[in-house]
Amino acid sequence: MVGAVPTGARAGRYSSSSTMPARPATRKEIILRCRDLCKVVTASGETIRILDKVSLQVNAGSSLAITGASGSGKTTLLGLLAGLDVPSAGDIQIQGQSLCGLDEDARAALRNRYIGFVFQSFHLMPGFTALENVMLPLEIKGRTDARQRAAELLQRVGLGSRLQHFPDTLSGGEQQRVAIARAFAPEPPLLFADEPTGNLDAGTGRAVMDLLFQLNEEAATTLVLITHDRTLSERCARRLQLQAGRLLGPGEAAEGSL
Amino acid sequence: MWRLYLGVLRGQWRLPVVRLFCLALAVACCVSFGITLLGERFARLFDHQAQEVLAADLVLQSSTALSDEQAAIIRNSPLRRARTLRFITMARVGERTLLSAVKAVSAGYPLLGQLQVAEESLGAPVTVHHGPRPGTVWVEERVLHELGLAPGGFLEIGEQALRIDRVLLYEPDRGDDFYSLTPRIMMHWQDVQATGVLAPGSRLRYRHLFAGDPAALATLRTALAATMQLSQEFVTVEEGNRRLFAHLQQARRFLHLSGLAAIFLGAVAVALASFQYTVEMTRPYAILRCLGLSAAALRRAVLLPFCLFALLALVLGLALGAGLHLLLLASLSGLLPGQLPAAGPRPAALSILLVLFILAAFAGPFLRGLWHSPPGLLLHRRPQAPRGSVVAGLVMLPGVAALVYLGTGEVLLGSVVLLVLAPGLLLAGLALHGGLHGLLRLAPRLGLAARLALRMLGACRLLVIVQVLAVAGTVFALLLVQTLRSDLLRSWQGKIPGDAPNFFAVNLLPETLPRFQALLRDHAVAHSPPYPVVRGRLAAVRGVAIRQYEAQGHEHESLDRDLALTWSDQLPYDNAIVAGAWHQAGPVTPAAAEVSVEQEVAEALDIRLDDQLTFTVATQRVSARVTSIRTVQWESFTPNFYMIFRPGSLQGLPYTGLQSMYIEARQRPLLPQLAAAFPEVSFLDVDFLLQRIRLIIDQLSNTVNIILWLALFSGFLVFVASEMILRRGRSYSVALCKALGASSTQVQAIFRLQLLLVGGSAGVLAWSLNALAQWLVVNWYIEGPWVFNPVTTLCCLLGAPLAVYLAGYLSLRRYSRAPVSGLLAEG
Repeated sequence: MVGAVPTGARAGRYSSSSTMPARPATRKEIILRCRDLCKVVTASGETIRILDKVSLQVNAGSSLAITGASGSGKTTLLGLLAGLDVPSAGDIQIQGQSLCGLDEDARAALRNRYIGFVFQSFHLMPGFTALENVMLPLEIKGRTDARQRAAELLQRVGLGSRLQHFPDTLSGGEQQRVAIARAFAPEPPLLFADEPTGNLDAGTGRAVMDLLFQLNEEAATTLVLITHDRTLSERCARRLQLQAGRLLGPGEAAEGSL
Repeated sequence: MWRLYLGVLRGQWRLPVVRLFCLALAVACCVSFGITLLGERFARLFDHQAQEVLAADLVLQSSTALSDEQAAIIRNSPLRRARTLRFITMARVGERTLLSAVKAVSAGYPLLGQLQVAEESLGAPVTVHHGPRPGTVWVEERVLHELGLAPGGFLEIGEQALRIDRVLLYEPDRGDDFYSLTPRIMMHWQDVQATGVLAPGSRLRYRHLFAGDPAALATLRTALAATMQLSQEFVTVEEGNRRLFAHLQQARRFLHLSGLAAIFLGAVAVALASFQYTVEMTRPYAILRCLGLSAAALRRAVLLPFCLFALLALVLGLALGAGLHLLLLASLSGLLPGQLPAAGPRPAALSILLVLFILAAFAGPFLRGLWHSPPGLLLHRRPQAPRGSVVAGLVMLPGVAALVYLGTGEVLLGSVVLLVLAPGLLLAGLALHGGLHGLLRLAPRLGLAARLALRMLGACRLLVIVQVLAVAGTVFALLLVQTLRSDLLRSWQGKIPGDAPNFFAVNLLPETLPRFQALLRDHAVAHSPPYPVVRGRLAAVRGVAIRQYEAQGHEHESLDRDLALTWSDQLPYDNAIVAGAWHQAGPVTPAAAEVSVEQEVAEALDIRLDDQLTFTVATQRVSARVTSIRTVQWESFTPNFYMIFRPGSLQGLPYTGLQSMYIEARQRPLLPQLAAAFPEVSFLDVDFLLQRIRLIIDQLSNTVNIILWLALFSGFLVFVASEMILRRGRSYSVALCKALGASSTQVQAIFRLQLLLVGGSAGVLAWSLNALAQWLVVNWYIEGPWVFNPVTTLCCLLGAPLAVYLAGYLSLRRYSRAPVSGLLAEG
């Protein structure tokens, strides 16, 4: 793991203008850090510990793969890191700003400024065209060039001829490419991808991943990827493995892992 | 296999949408059963009354004694027979007098039906099959009350003192009005002579009652018909109380209309719940299909739980309906006499049919999609909208008309509803579609919230249109019921104002009239101007004698009795000319007599403008030309006339005066004084009838309110169902927007706008539908005045958006607070 860099004082830089894209953090700067993260849920009267004291940090511009078996807590960890969910204990900092104590609105503002998402099931807005889907985060951000920027990105992902198509007329690979365009559109410094190829066949999955890494390289975005696909994880600069809610050390091998 | 079905059943019962389905179906069934059960018992009551109303199979009424020839015919008949004699007279106890309707009955009375009497005041009813013994009378409670008597006491009729033996509660041939004008006394035929009331000039009504073999009855009827005099007639069962009947009729229709709204809304809720049920169950059933369940077994797995839920709803609905019917009966207590006859199986059968019908037309089309859903559906991550929605729409529209018929038994209303609803919904749907399309074109020029709100609405426009229609339909139905209810009450109250005349003075002699007027003025009694009344009968139409005319198939009850003919140069304020023109100013000579005829009589007797009508007045004949046709407010308490002549037309004929008065409670002591000063004048006390009708209106309003609450509850179910459908899509959009960094302020602004747009369009649509339907219903159905209602307008234009906004906002707050990680979990 990379050494800690005190970054708390730098957070204010990105709040100066909400209409401008956040400046990508310089390399070696810590963009994401979490400490002793726990998530406990109660189901049918039984307490289940999904995450147990997870700590990690990610340098700006790098890429991290989190792997693990089904039910190991990968998705829950991603949700917490992205501020989509609230931890039972522990702290998360994005660009030095702690998520703890932020209300939903403040977390949403943070997401809008720093974070992009690619989901396993694409999560495109049904009834919105490909163009409108990509415009959505830009419009929320208040960008006036939303349409132009969205069209450019769709062109970039190879869907320039399908701007006005609705999600249900697109194939899985095309839908995921729209989702990737949507994720990169607001130029977020941090991109989370949750099993982005999980719903795609091997060929399409590979093409989508090529695109993702290519854009990541071009935009100097920090990528946090959740996957159980070893070849995919090996394309990332760093790999961490989760098992039963705990992060394994670099030398530890997961029980029953491939 | 059965274990599988059981598992499916258990799993489904936990779904809120299934419980909503059951509840909505149960409410529709409950309202239908409650109303038809009540209606059935009413109908049976009226049937029952109709058979008994004559207390005989055949009745010959006469104002004079029978001719010798007729007496001989009757003596030779093998039929059972009895006689009654009715007259109005003063009953006396010392100084106290009471104008009473006396009926003297012979041995054998009643030939059919029964009487109910009590041994003492307010005592338990006892059924008897005979009249009072000679020397005794049975009197109504009111007689005891007014004269301060108790059974065992004596009262005088004419010169004869008679002992009060029983309290008279019910007599079959009182007519189908339960509320006679004057308190009643029943005595024995033998005592009549001794009373001395049979003086020449007394107004008497003899009735000869016959019962027995139908062939003998027919023979007797033919034999008597050949000998009939003008003062004689056979009594028909249709004699009724027009005022009461009009109100009951209006109330019955109204009850049906509001019940219909409740049933219709219940059916809409069933349709929405079925839609959502299909959405939720498509995947589980596709999984079963994927796992190799045969088509037949799948159909069973779909139908079994569904049928069980429907059965549960049916049983619940019938039980609730029986309860509702008891509640309605309780709200009508005092209006209905004693025991109602038990109902047959028809209401239950109709309600079961209704439930089956709602299932087939409102749930079936969606359900079919379930067992036709291809297992390939599982490949899609998000559930698809159920197919067959268009089929559903096509089945439902004519379905609604059938619903109206099943729910209320009215064909006309069903057709009207269908005629308004089908094109109305289609037009409204198209208008909404066009409106949304136009707004979407505007969207790029609007702010973020408006832009996204419109785009989201446009994304699921079919569902949005369905929701707007459902909400508008709900608000429309509720408002229609509420508006008509208040309009109806207002029109009822308008017809019976607080100072409506409660006494009529008839037989005022022209020479004593000024003295009578002066007395009323002195005592500050509010009164109408005196109407001149000439007693006469219609003798010929266009020169055709009335008996011949009747034989040609023209019938009206006015032909059977003396008519009160009057003249006036003023059209009564609540009458309206529908053909011709009202009398010109100035009198005419009897040779050029002109008459204005009431519309119902004119229609029944095919009387047209410029026809020549001939009347018999005493021994004279009068002819008049018809110059106008009028409508009359029969349910009002002002004197109404079939025939109003132009002044001068009845010149020289004997007439008396008729006057209505409002006598306050404190002025009542004046009555004996008036009766003593003007012995020839008869006073008709309608105060009791007025109070009775006011009570009826109050009670009918209560009944209507109960149904209104049920309709409101059904409307609430529609809201809940549409919320259930939209919640899923809405929570998904909220989560996605938030994942993409939208603040909750932005999210709320987007959805607030959506809610306001949906609610606003629903409100405007509801108002338009309301105005149109109200106009139609009021003009064609209830026949009352159309009243612009500002409250209704406010309810539609502000209430509907507010209701949609509040309902949506409450659930929106819930999503806003929930973490958005659910999106990831789904992935």
